[in-house]
Amino acid sequence: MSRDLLKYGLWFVGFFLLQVLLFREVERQVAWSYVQFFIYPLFILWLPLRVHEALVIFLGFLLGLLIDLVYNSPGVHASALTAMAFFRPFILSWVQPREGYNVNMSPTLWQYGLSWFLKYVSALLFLHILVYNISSFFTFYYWKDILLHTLWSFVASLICILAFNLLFSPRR
Amino acid sequence: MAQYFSAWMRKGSVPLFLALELVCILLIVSFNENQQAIASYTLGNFQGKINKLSTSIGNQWTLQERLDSISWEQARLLEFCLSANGETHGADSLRRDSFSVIPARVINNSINRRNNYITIDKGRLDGIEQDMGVISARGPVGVVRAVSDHYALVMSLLHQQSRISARLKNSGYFGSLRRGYSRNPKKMYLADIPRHAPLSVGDTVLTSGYSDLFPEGMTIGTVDTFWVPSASDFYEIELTLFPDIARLHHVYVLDKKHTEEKELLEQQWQHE
Repeated sequence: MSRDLLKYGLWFVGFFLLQVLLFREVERQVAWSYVQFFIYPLFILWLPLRVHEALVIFLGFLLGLLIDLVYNSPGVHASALTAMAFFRPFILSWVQPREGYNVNMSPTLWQYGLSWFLKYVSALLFLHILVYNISSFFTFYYWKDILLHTLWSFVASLICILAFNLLFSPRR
Repeated sequence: MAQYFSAWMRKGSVPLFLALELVCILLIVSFNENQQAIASYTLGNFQGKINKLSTSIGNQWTLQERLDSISWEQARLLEFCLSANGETHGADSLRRDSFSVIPARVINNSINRRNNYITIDKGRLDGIEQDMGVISARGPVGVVRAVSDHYALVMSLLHQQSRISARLKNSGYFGSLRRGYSRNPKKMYLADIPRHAPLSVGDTVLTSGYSDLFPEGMTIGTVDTFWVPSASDFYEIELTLFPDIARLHHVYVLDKKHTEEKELLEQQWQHE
């Protein structure tokens, strides 16, 4: 139990640092305004199913808020990640494999296969980035820009997340 | 117990989600300049709309009041105009027509029967009596026939027995204005104009001022067509009314002063 806590605590800090130290710098270097890289949603995606929904939502809010403090955009990332955490159970039940889930383990690429993982990740990631861009623009007047930003960032982030999964996904 | 708690937690995820999103929105609009500007702009628009709505509702409430006050002012102006009109007759100020004007609202009106009446919302308590003239802003519309405490029934020009003394503006010949055979509420007939009177289409018809109902020289309408029936010495004149009796809202009841004296004199003479 305490080992798990330590593990998820490390993930929390790890994804936070990865986002603000690596991907934020990449965004700055690329400086292509349409693209933003989102790696930290993987923390929520990787949480085991037995974790309380309310706790997942709260953790999403907390991680988003921390990211916001670095990005200097209080509430924007937090609202997106909170929404994503809230909708995770719905997506999970939507893409549920025939044999069901192992609630004690992280839902990973190796456990349920690539097509399952793609559905799971892309649905939630798209939702996350969409909410992020809506919060960021804060008006539907620029709905075309919202969609364009969402699409490009979604593609870029999906590639990063897949690559990261292939390299570092927890096998157990 | 733990089960119930976990069930509550599951159900609690919706309010938690909503609460956290609310916190996020508050954070967004209080600490991000762009979003703050957009939010205050939108909120301002919203406020503006609300304000507009509330004032328009307020207007609806006060509209009738304002219309009534305008019609009261109009009545005072009419009084002033009518007395000023009388003064231009000459130095003999004793002969000055003087009317007091009572504004009223039309609350019922018929136009397509043989005998048409207008009901107004002022009655005896407002100083209205039988046989007072009723005008609209564009000309005479009828004569008060019956009065109760708060209402009055006005015999409209479109009444079969309505007779208004009228004269031609150009030649000065006078006749009587009556409902003709047409059911058109804009058409009236002018009878009793002798056939030797010069007449042309478009001549203006005015009130004669011979009756005490209306002041002299109010416009009634214009001559539309005219002819002389065979074996008659009088024209049949069809004219177009200026006042639209089919569309009356506010009318003014005219109360002529010193009318009893004149009527008494006329009655005495007729009795003898």
